[in-house]
Amino acid sequence: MSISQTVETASDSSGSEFRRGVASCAPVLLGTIPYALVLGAQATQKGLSTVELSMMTGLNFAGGSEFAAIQLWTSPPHILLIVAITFLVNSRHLLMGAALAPFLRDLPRRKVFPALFFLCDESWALGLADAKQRAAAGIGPAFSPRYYMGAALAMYLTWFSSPRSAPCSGRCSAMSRPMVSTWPFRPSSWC
Amino acid sequence: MIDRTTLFTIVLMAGVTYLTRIGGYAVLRNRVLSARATAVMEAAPGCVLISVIAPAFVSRNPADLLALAITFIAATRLSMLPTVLIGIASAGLLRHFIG
Repeated sequence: MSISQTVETASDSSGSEFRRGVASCAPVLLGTIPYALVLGAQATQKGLSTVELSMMTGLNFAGGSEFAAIQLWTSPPHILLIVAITFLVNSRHLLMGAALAPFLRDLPRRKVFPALFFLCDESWALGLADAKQRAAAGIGPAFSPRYYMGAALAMYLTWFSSPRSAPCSGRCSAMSRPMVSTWPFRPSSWC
Repeated sequence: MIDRTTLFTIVLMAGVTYLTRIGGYAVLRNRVLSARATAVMEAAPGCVLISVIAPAFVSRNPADLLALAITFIAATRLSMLPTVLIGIASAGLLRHFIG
C-alpha cells in the first residue's frame, strides 16, 4: 500500500499532509460512487426530493444508515424507527472513536469535535493506519490531523455530491427507474 | 420541496449519528486505560472493519461470490487502486451477465 512509502517522504507542511490524505483516499472514492448513485435512485423511488437527499447525505454522512433509512422510508416516515435504526447502524462509531481517542489526546477539543463530524469507516481506517505507521517510524505526533481531514473531506464531498448527480435524481422517466436501482449494484449488504 | 416531517427525521438522524461519532472520544478522552482495556482498544479496529465488510461476503449470488474471489486474489497481489477497480468492474460485469 502507498501509505508506507509516502510517510517517509512527507514533509511537515500542512498542504502536503492534506494532499497526502486526499491521495490515499482516492481509490476508496471510486468504490463509493456506485453506492452513492444507487442511494440517489432509491431515494427518488421513495419520493425524497433532491434537496432532502442532499440534506441527509450532508448532515448525516453515514452511508449504511442512509440506505437503511431509505428502505424503511414511508410517507410520512416513522421517525422513531428510522432514528433508532440509524443509531444502531452507526453505533460502531462509538468503538471507532474510542480506538482513535489515544491519538487525539494532545489536540484541542475545539478542533477534535468538528473533525469527528467527518469520522467515517474510510477516514477512520486511513487516519488510524497512518498514525500507527508514523508511530512505528518514530514520527511525532503520530496522528496527522491534516492527513485525516484530507481523506475525510474527499470522502464527504464525494458522498454529498454524487447522489444528486444520479442519472435519475429528481425528474426521471418511470421506465429507467427500476433499471438504475437494480443494475448492477444492489446494496443488499447495507442493512 | 422539503417536507417538515422529513426535515425533522433527517435532523434527528444527523444528531444521533454525530453523538455516535463523538461518544467514544468524549468518554475516553481523559481516562487512563488499564492494560486490558488498551488491548481491547487495539483489537477493536480490525474487528470493526471486518464487521463492516463481512455482511457482503454472505451471499448466495454466484456473481457476488465470484467477484469476491477475484477481488480477494487481486488484493493479495496488487495495491489498493487496481484492486478497487478490479472489484467494481468484476462485480458489475458478473452481476450483469450472470445475475
